[in-house]
Order: sequence, then C-alpha cells, then structure tokens
Amino acid sequence: MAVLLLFLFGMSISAQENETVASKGLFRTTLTFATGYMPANKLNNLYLTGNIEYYVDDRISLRGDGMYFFNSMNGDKTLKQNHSIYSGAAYHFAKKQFDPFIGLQTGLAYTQRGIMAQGVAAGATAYNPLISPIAGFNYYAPKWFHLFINARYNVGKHLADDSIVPLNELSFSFGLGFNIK
Amino acid sequence: MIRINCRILIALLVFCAFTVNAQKEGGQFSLGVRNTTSLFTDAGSPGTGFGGQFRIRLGKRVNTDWFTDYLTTDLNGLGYRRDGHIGWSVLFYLGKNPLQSKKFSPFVAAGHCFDYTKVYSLIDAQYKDRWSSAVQLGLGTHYNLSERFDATLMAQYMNHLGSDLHSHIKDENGVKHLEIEKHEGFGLEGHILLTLSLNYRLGNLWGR
Repeated sequence: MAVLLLFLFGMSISAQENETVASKGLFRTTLTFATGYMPANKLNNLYLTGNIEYYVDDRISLRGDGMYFFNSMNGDKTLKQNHSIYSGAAYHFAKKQFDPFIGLQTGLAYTQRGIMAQGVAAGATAYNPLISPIAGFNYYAPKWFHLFINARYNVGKHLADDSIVPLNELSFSFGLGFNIK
Repeated sequence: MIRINCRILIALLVFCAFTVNAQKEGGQFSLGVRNTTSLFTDAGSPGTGFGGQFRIRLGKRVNTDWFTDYLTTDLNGLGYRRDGHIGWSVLFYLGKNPLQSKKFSPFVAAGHCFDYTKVYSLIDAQYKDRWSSAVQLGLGTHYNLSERFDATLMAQYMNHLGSDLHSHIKDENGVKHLEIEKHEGFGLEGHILLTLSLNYRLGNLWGR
C-alpha cells in the first residue's frame, strides 16, 4: 500500500495539471495477473490477463482482452481450463490524469471440467459465450505509463457433453500499463 | 404464412434499394460486437450469445446489419442447445434525422438468416441437430454516444423455417432426462432475441 501511495504521489507531482492524458488517439496495453471468484462453485481462480485499448474519441475506447487460466487457488479441480477472449468498448470519464471507465464486452471462453475423482478422465471441452461488463480506472503519468485497476463480471455457463458448470465470476486485476499517443 | 413473410421481406428490400440508395449518407461502414440473449425457447431458461456484425448504410433512413451469433442455452441442467446464426437485417429508421450524436435512433428491423441448431442430452449422451433458415422482425434503437459510435438495443422475433427440433423433460421412474424430438418436414419454431451491440463507424465504402 505504501508503495502504491508513493507511486501515485510521484505521478501526480510530475504530471501536467491541466492536460487530460486519456483522450482521442491514446493507445494503451497491459499485462498482469487477475484473481476471480465464482460464487456458484466457491472457486478462487488465478489468471494471466492482458488487454489492448485504443481511444477513438475523448470518451470512447475500443478494447480487447484475454485471460489465461492458471488454476483454482483453493485446490479445487472443478475447472481444468477456463481461458477467454473479449472485445467491446468502454466509456471514459477522464479528467487530468484520472480516467474512470465503464464498459461492456462480449466474450468467448474455452472451458473444460477438471478431474473430479481418481480414475475419472477430464471432461469434454466447450466454447461458451460470455457477457462481460467491466469497470475501473486508470491513473496516468505524463508519458508512457499508467496505473490501472479493473473489475470484470462474467456471465456464462460451461455447457459440454458431460457437464454443466456456471462460469459467473467477479474478477479483479491491477498493475502498471504502457501507453503511447 | 411463410410465403407472405418472404414476400413482405422482399418487398421491403426492393423498396429500400430503390428509394434510398442514391442518398448521400449511403456507404457508411461500421463494425461491432454483440451479445444476444435468446428468450422464450423450449429450454425454459435464457441462452447467451457471442457475436459480431458489420453495417452498411444504404441511405439516410436505411441501414443494413450483417451479423453472426453463437448462442448456448442450458436445458435445465439436463442438456444444452447450441445455435449458430449468420444473416442480415434491414434497419429502417423511424426518425427523420437518424444517427445524430447524443440522440436515440429508433428503427424497425427485418431480415433473414441461416442457422444451425444442436440439442444435446447429457444423460442419454445423444444429440439431434438441423440446418435451417429463419426470418426475423423486430424493433430497436441506437444510442449514438458520438458521431461514429453507438450502442444498440434490439428485440427481434426469429421464426425458423425448417424441420422442427425441440426438447422436453421426461420423468422415468423418478429420473429426469431430456427427450429430443426432431420432426422432418416444414415446421415453425420461434424465439425472441434481445441483442445489445456496440458499433464503431470506420469509414465510407462509397459517397462522402
């Protein structure tokens, strides 16, 4: 937390006060880890996640995301695979360095049920549509870098030949992103 | 009934093509992504869909949507249904000056699509599928967040024109399973599709 506050302080004193960084023509990208919670299965999941985003307007950006599933952190084997890709747009309320946003993406998940007991093979794979609203904020330094926090809620189901598993999940990610204009 | 539907669609298309093609707003090309929810199917629960579309505007009050959807539906935990749609719709704007920034642009939509449907029963490990075509008719509105970007909400009734494929739950000795029925010949099966899409105008294919 102390590091985060120092980082924010450092960015704020070095930024130009009257310029809104998040505006038309800005391109940003990130790569970080995300954690997610699936309430129906009580699963805590870990992902590698990244996105690319382009501001087509001072308020609107087009954005694509990807999430690579590592594992469920609580040792649960309900899911063996749960990778996903997303595309959509976000609406920004940017002012100076601070850039809160909301957005909506459509997603596709590649999923597979895990090995639930000894002698039982992993389940069939399936491609499943997702509806995925997002919200968060970016905090920009004058050049190149920004801090971001992103929340996502997925709505969908793993519907395969051998099992049905809800994929509804609230996930969070934060980190340092790269931006250029 | 079906012949009447097709005639209405064709008439609408011909009307559109001949009345608006020359207008200066024609040629705008947009690209978008969409989420579609399928309601009032025999599944009893809504299906969710992933898809995309592009738009080619033919004139001031007429646009066209060329879309594809992939929908999955949970059939009460006993199986699933998968639907694939690829098709087009004509959008006729109800307002005189549609697609203005920060305003709603309501429209009537009508079109046609080709589709694939698969219904799978988990307990029986069996499925039935079919290829068919469908016609759709609906209402919707864009909200133009900027000159080039809009969010669109649309409700359509899609009527499949082909063999009838449906499922129902059967209880045998206390064990529920999904019974799938496919009736060859010509059937009418419909559902409501709610679509929310985000679209960005990339440029013009012709005109200004």
